[in-house]
Amino acid sequence: MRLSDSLAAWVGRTIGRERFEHDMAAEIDFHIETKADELERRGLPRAEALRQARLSFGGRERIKEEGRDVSRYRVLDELHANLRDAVRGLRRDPSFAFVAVAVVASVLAVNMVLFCFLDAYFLRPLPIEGAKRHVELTVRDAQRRSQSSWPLADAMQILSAQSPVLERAYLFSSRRVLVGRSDPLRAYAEVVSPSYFEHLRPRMALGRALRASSGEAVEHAAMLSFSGWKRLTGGDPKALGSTLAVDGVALSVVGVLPEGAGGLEPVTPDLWMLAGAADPARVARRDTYAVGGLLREGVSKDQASAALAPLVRPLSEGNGSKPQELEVRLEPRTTLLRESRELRPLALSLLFLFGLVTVIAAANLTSLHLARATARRRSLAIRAALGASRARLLRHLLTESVLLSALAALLAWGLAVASVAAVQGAVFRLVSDAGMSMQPVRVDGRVLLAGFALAGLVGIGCGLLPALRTTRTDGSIGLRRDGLWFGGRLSAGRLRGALVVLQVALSLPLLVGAGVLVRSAASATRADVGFRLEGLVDLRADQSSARLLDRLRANPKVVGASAVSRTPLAGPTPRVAGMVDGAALSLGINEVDEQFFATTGIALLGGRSFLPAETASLAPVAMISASTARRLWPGRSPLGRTLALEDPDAAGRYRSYEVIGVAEDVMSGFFFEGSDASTVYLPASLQKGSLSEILVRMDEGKASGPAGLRTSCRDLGTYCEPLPMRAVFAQQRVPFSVASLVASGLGLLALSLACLGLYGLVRFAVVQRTREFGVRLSLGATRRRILADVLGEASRRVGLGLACGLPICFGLSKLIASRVPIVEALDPIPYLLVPLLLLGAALVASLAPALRAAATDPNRILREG
Amino acid sequence: MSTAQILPGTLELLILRAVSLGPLHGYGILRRIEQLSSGALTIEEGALYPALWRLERDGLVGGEWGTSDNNRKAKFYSITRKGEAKLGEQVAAWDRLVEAMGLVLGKKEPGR
Repeated sequence: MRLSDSLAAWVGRTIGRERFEHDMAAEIDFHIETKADELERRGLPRAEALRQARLSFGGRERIKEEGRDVSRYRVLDELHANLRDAVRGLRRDPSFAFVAVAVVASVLAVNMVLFCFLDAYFLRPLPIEGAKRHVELTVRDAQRRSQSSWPLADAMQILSAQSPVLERAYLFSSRRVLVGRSDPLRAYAEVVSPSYFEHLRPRMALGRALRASSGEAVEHAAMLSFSGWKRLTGGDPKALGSTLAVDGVALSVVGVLPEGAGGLEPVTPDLWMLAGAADPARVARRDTYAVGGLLREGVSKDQASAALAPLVRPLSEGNGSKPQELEVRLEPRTTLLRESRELRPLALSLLFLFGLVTVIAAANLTSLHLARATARRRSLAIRAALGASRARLLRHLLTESVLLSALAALLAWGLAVASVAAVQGAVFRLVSDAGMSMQPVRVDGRVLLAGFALAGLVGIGCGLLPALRTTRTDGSIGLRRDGLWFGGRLSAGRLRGALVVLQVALSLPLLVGAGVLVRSAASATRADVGFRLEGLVDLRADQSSARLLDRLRANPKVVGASAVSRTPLAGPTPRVAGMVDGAALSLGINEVDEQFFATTGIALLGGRSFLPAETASLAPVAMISASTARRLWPGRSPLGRTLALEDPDAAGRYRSYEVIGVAEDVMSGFFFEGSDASTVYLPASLQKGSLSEILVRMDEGKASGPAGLRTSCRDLGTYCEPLPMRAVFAQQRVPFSVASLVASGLGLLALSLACLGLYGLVRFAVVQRTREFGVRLSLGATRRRILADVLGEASRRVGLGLACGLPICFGLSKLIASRVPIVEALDPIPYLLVPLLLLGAALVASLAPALRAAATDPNRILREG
Repeated sequence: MSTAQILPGTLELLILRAVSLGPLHGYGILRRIEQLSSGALTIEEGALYPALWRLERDGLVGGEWGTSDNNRKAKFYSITRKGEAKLGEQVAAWDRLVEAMGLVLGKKEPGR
């Protein structure tokens, strides 16, 4: 190996190896010359003196070799020799090298990509000085509900008083805005205090960051992110100084961030603006601001929380809790995403899935090493006979594993670099469909380091067992064709068979899970939310008035409009205590006006809807959902029956309602939680009752969309932010689509690994049994019979793997379904199709070696003996 | 006086003793040992060096290149502090061994 030799020479030079050799030689030369001088003085001719000096010195090369033994270079020499042997060995068996590198690299690459995301969002510190001290303010009430944002005036008050405990505290809020006047673009904005940029100190691509203005006036300016600059100005290099109309307020562009730069949140907005620069009518009412900052050096978060509590408590709502029950907390957040109760299960299940694939790959690699170790027993036996110690043989074998892993890690790095953009694109497209862009993910040195660590772990771990067993010092080493394992109870062949069973068993849950998720995600797009999504718009107005409702209904593009206390898909409906036929139970309620069912398109299944007179007078009548009817009065008509609900304002007092109609079930919470278990609709109107939201059904034929609604609001001095229900639904779908994308990718990888493992096993077994096949063929066995035998054995292994994997699948599906009701745990399609797919793929994988077995030439086998 | 082979394991002790008197190159160490034993101990020349290098690796002697009497470049070894401590220990151990051997072989009365 010229390459490895020159590499060794280079390493040698760098660490003083050459000098060491030179010194040894010089010392020996000096010794011999000095001795020769002495002999010469005694009268011998120079040549004879030198000869005698050399003779009495002894074997020069032997002495130098002993010197190298003494030196630290001996380790390097052995490493060099081992590396050279490993490279030679792998070149002699390129298919093994190729498959092993491919297996390790593929699984490393997916783990590296995962690490990229985890690193970017959970591990890498925020891009600010003192990120370790970054905290955010929250208040929790007695029911552990938390509030983490306040109206502008209150947030400003907190901000002005925090200086003894917090450093560079800032306000933060995010919102959707419309940019432009005639044909506005939807954009995502972060509204902050100037102190926000004291943290970020962004390196600007153009212009400057937003800054505090002197005096009263707030700077009416906008700073754009790179993507915002592209989207909103078309990447205009002369965008600085131009004016953007953001929700109708003129802001001049003062700066543009470079590509990849964002704020302190995982989502990068299109633009930043200063709190107070927005529409004042809106600021006063709807928007709330979070408070963040750095703990001052030496101040603990408990001290700081205690210092802020007297100020923050009176400003917080508490939902009926007394102020002293409110717990004021400063929550540390040192990375883009805080590790939270909501995200932990997601992160853990992701890690579990990736772990599963890694285990499959490890089983595959171990199996490969086993096969190779079995094949190399003879050469190892020769080495052992020549005096190599077991430790040396182990180092020799492990060098190969480490070399393979290092190659795989490099390849994986390349794969990760190449694919992370694509994966990020696919994942982010789902997010950007919902109108946002995420902070970019990078493959950097940290990722490479993590990859190498995992590669070393997998490489050495998988190489160690086969290496340990192969080098076991027993007299029969190398004599048997197939080594015995675990004290002779298990042959290497059977162990490899067991590893294939393991791979199949673990691939099954991945594939079934992927199948279930893909089908759920697909059905989610068609999911029956119980109402017509198309054309339905959540108006999201600051003030909902009867005048506004009338004005909307007068708009020719509006088909219907309705006031409601809770819009669909906005989270679970509030629940109240109910009493039906003497039984106490908890029921979800929603107050709606008489137009609600017509506007949303929720089907009436029986009875009638509310009358205007009933909504105006808050009449004691109710409509219930179909599932509520089934639950309360199974098998009987609910019409005309009564139910009692607790008065929200007076605990313990119940009011009776007569059921007048039954409506189709709807999903009011997150769609993957499925339809509501119970809904009771109560009549209410904007004039009377607690209705606050407005739903509008637009004429789908007229394409102008919800933008015209803003004008209607503005005409009445109200601000509104219409949001199509379709977009709400799309946002809810994001985690689902991401999960099914990831699961499918991992499932396919697992399938390929399992098939590769099986192929390797069958091929190896066929080679080992060539003689047997030859003998059987010559004794009259048909080729068809041999083929069937080999394929039969492979499918038995797969069958066993499926049998082991199915219980895991059932358990996992049950677990997922218990959390996410829309997932149909025992969806028959994946449960039928995936095992068939696995079996089919396995048979295809074993077909080539099986055909080779059947094609054995009995004459040749018999001739060769 | 006839020459004797040195006992196994004593070569390092001899080298340490030789260089404890002042810096010497390898050939000088051989000569010094012969001198000190009045020619009774001879060391296989080549065997000296691996032992010397081992002492150097372990930090018991330090080596430095210099010029010899015959005007050649030579490596001179001198004892380090660690080497001196080691020498003390080994001399004491040697004394105990000699005394014990003497007792066993009946060359010495106990306590005398």
